[in-house]
Amino acid sequence: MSINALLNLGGNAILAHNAGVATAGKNIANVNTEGYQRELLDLRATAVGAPILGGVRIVGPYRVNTLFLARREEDASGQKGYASASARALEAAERAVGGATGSDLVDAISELWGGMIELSAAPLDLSTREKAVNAARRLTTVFQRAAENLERERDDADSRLTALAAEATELAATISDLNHAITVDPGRDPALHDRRDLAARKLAEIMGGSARIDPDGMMRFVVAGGVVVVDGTRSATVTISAGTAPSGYGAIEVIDGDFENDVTATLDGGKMAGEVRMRDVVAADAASDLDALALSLANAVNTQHAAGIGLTDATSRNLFVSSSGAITAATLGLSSDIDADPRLLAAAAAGSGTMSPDNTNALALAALRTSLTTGGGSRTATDEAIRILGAVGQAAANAQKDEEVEDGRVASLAELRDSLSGVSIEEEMTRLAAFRNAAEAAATFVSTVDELLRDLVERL
Amino acid sequence: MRITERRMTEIVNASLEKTRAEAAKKAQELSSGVKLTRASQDGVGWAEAARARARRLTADAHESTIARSRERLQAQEGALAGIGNVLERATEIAIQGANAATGDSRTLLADEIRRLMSAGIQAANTKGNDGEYLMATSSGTTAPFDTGTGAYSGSSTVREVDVGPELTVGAKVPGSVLQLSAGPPVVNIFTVLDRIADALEANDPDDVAAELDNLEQGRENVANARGDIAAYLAALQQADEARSDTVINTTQIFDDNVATDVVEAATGLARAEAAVEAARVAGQQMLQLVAGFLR
Repeated sequence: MSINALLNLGGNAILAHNAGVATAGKNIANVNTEGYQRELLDLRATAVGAPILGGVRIVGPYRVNTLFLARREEDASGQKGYASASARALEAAERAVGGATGSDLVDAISELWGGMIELSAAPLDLSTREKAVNAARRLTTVFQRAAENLERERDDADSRLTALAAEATELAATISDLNHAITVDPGRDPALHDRRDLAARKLAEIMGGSARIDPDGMMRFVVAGGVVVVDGTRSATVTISAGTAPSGYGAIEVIDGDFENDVTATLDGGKMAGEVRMRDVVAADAASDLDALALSLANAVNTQHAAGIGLTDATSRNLFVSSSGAITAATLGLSSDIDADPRLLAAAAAGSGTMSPDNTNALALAALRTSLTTGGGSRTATDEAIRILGAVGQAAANAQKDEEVEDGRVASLAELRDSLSGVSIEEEMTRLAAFRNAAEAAATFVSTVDELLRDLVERL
Repeated sequence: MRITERRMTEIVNASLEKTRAEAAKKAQELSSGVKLTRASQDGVGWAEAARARARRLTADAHESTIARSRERLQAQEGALAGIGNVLERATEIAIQGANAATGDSRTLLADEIRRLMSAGIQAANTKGNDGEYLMATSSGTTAPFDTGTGAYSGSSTVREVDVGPELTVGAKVPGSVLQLSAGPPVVNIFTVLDRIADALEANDPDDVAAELDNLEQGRENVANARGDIAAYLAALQQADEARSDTVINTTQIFDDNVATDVVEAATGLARAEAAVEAARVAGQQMLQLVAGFLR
């Protein structure tokens, strides 16, 4: 072997081990970089010149990862996003309908009946009448507040969806940009793959769906219903189209050029689907049920009230009215006449005459508390209120349990990924020391060969 | 499995977050005295507590109704007792007037009958503490018995009140209990007293004697009415006892489902705080392990 070949051998060794030092250094530098997957360098022996002498060549650096785990993480992120968003949104919806005590509506209905019960014992007493009217007024306030709060939560869900849509659009654009960078120069920077995987995970957390890497190296991201959000170097825009969903709120649209896909009802994972579930299903059902309860309760009370007579005037007066259109939870109101003059509260039976101590109608009004006036004639007003509040609570509880399960699943997969691809400072420091020592040894080898050459030259 | 330093930090943070959240929850339960406020915490317990609250609110209304009705019935009982005394004395006078008294004595007796009649009408027109005429059924603000003739204006309806689940009890006896004949003409005890007074003034012992059976009927009506009142009061008492049971029962449900068990919460808080401290110490040791290697 020639002296030059020996010098090349030494030089290659120094380069190879310096590359190892650099790789270990890069891993240490990125120990806290989100989504970074550690790189490893393989060194392979090579034959140089005569069989007895060999060299070293670098293989890598390559990322330590598995596509299988990446896809599982995207799926888990989607489910976790869905569960988390559902849980937060449904907790808020539960507070909205439950009020301060969690059962404001149930209490208000009971207080209405209580007012009628007391009225039956003292139909001429003005303070008792005022108490009954106050109870009726409070009931209308509780219904209105529940309806307003619920609508506000649904509006807030729309706002959150708008922010999520913007974030999803940005992530999709990031993936498509990274697709371009990776395919233009595949060996350029392995960390680009890490960033792309991280973006895919975050996008899945928002919209559900999953990514796949095609043979051309490009990532494609597809959500439920086969709607493509990222196709190679092209990414769609995710927007909220105000008021166009069947619920009357914003529809989630994926727009790619001339193609517009409404995915509001088809998304089955991610935070967006979680928000939609609260907004268009649970809260919508609760709002509809509250409206039905307000109407049936008001109708039952009004029918009986109109059959009676107050202290000063004739019959056929409703206790509950609507502030606008049909009676709903939001429009339920108290008769302004009765509100101003509790003597108009009809405690006596029709035909009893003015200032009558008769309490027949008050008794009948109080008896409505056990009448099956709601739920299609199967439930009392109190039981229906409990059912409505309980349904929202149950949905929130289920979402919280799901969130716990998905949190565990995501944590478990993250732990697996970290175990495989995470940077251990101890390992990298050890590897760093090994490569550094080897580089020093290679440098010593080069020095030795250099001395040999000098000796030779001097003798010549 | 490889555990990286980042993973160790995440484990420490997650552990601290979880233990702190648990400690905060226990502290909140302890300070508020309430552990269940939402259906999402415990759907079954919440629904049970909500129904118990509804029953309790209704029971509170019944408490007021029962107390007011009891007061009214007791006042009516007092008024009827007074009317009963009037009829007792009137009977004595009538017996006297039907027998050996002379014309002048009958005049005096007639005067006393008229005074008794007036006292009886006054008793029958007694108002309750809320200003409502106790025996009125057609108008609470107009005296049910004419102050001069004692004629009754009203019905024979017993006013009932709601005192329990699907339970009503009589709470006001109508003035018609003093009626002896529906007529026409309508005859009540004051009609009889008036006729007795007229007969005494006319010095007609036979007419006086003819009213003795009516006086006895009147006393019997008053006794029956007082008996009805006693029965209503007994029913109110029973309803009140059932209401008390409801209060005890609903309180128990609150204690079981909603209220914080102070001892349990305090113990839980102590455990949670210990867990926080343990997580903190474990975290410190983990981080020292990492830092130690780097040194």
